[in-house]
Amino acid sequence: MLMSIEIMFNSAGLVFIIAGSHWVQSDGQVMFIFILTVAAAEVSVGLAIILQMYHHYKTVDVDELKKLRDKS
Amino acid sequence: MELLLSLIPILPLCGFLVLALFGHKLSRSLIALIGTSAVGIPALFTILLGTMFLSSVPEGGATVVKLWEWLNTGGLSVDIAFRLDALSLIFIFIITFVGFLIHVYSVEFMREDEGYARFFAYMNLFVSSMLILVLADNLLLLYLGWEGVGLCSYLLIGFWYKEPENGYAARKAFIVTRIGDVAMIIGLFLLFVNLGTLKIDSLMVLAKQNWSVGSPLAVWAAVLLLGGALGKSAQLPLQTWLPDAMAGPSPVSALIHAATMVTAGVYLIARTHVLFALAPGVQTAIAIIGSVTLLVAGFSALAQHDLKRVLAYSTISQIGYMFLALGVGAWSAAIFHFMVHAFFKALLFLAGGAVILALNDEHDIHKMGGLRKKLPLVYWTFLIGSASLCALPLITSGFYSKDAILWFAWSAEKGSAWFWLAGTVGAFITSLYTFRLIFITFFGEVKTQPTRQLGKMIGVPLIILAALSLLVGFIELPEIMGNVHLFSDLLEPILPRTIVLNENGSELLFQLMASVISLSGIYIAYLLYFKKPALAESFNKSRLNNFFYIGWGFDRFYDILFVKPIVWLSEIDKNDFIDSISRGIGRITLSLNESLSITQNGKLRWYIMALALGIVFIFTIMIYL
Repeated sequence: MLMSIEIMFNSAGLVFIIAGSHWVQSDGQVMFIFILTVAAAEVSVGLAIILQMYHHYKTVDVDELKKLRDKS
Repeated sequence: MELLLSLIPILPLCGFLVLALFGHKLSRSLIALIGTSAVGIPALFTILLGTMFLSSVPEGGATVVKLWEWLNTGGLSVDIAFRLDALSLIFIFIITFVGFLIHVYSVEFMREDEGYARFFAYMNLFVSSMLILVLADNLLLLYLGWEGVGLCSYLLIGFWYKEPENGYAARKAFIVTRIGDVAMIIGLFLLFVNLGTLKIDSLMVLAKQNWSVGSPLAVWAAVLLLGGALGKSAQLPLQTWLPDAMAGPSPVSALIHAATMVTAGVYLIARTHVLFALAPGVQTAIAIIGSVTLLVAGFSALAQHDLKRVLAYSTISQIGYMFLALGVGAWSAAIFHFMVHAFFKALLFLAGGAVILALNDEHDIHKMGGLRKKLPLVYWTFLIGSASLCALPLITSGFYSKDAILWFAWSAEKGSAWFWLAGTVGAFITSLYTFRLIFITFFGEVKTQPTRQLGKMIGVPLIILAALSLLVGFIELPEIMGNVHLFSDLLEPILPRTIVLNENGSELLFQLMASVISLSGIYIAYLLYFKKPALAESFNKSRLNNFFYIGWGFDRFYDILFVKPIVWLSEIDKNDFIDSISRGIGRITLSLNESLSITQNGKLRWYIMALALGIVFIFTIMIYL
């Protein structure tokens, strides 16, 4: 699942680069650096959460996280 | 004087407010102090006002204190104004004085009850409403007091609300009196539309000017007001609520259903007597209703087992006497009987309550017996009250008041031999059922032992009321015996003297007959219930006795005629169109709930999807709106 998030970040960054090159402005490049930073931070946090989840549930299957269910 | 007069109904109202808002935080003795002084101080003021009034009678026989203007719209101008004249003076004296004695009695009677503050709050509200009723200068303010006493009656009958039976009795009382109240308010509408005002003195003057004797408007107004009076005073056909109202505590029965609320009807008719004089047919109807009621209730009292129900039917019967007096035009005799009746009936209820308390809430008289030696004070005061009720000759006040009514029933201009006969048979029955009660309860062998000591606060009011039951009669003695007219002289400006027509037959003869009748009733009760109980036993099992026991079948009759059809109709109408609208709303809400709760299934993927969709949605709105 985190792989798909990485792909999405990269694709969003690609859109910004293309837009920046289309209107010949450096803002696109600047945005891409921001996105990269956020992606890095997000990966570290996400990996920490996944490690915790493996610690409790002994699996990385996201469908096992069902505790927020409405109890009716 | 004005200040005193306005404080009299306001002080109990303040007592009610204090006890209702803060009662649960106060100690028992403080609650008792507030509750009793809220009625005791007005009693003192009444005595002061009374002496002031009697020593210098004001102009026109009345003082009117206007507090403020209540409403003034569409031609209707109503003030909060209190009127003190001889009639209202007598009533406020009874209400505050007897009310005070009953409050003192309740301090001890209700001591163990957890609703102590609530009881005194309701009692104070009742006293305040009743005072407003009798002091009101106009019919709308009177109606305010009228509704107030009806409300307090409901609250106090159902005081022990945890028993469903008490709630049903309270509801029955309220609904039956409501029927009378509707008639009365329509009567008020009629009076206002035709005479333009609701002030009582203006109404009486205008009615006399504009309406001739027997005119349809006068008759209708009188009939409608009479309907209201019948409801409140528990006369035929609206008398079914009073026996069941005995579900309330004994002080409530003494205050509301003996001395004060049930006499509101008598007060109303006496106050608007000009209107009834203009509708002679209605006045005769009052006398007929009074006579029939006193007989029906008297026979019913003969068959009851519950101590308080005997007294309840007795009250209906005695108010029948008051209505009889009003119907033949013996206005001051009716008010005199009201005053005497308030004393002895309150006494009987309080003494009966003391018996019930001492025997640990036993109401059935056949489970009592021999209490003469066990509860001597209660026995003697009960005996004195009963003697006054039976109109024992010469020594009791009841003799003078009941005798006056019987004399006027025979001899007044609107009287008739039939009314006198009904009254006399009623007097015989009264002695019979009263002494049946005494012989079964106080004589014979003890069947239930008294378990409770009765203190001074129960004893002293009983003694005071017993003394009054004996002494108060002497202010109005008939011509033969001293010709004292203090009472009717006092009321002369308000209630005209009764016109006596039939001078054949001296009053002495009638007094002798009345005395003989009441004494023979006592003697027959002695024979039946003391000497030879076997005779009474065989009568008890008869169907006639059962007919009397169920109050001549009125409850059953109303049940078949009114209650069952309405219940049947509402059963048919249970699932009608309007119900489906409200049920439909419920069903829509439930289905929305079911569909929305699918989104709360705990699956992480769904939540992420929802987040993403939400972001897209917000961006769309931001861009396009």
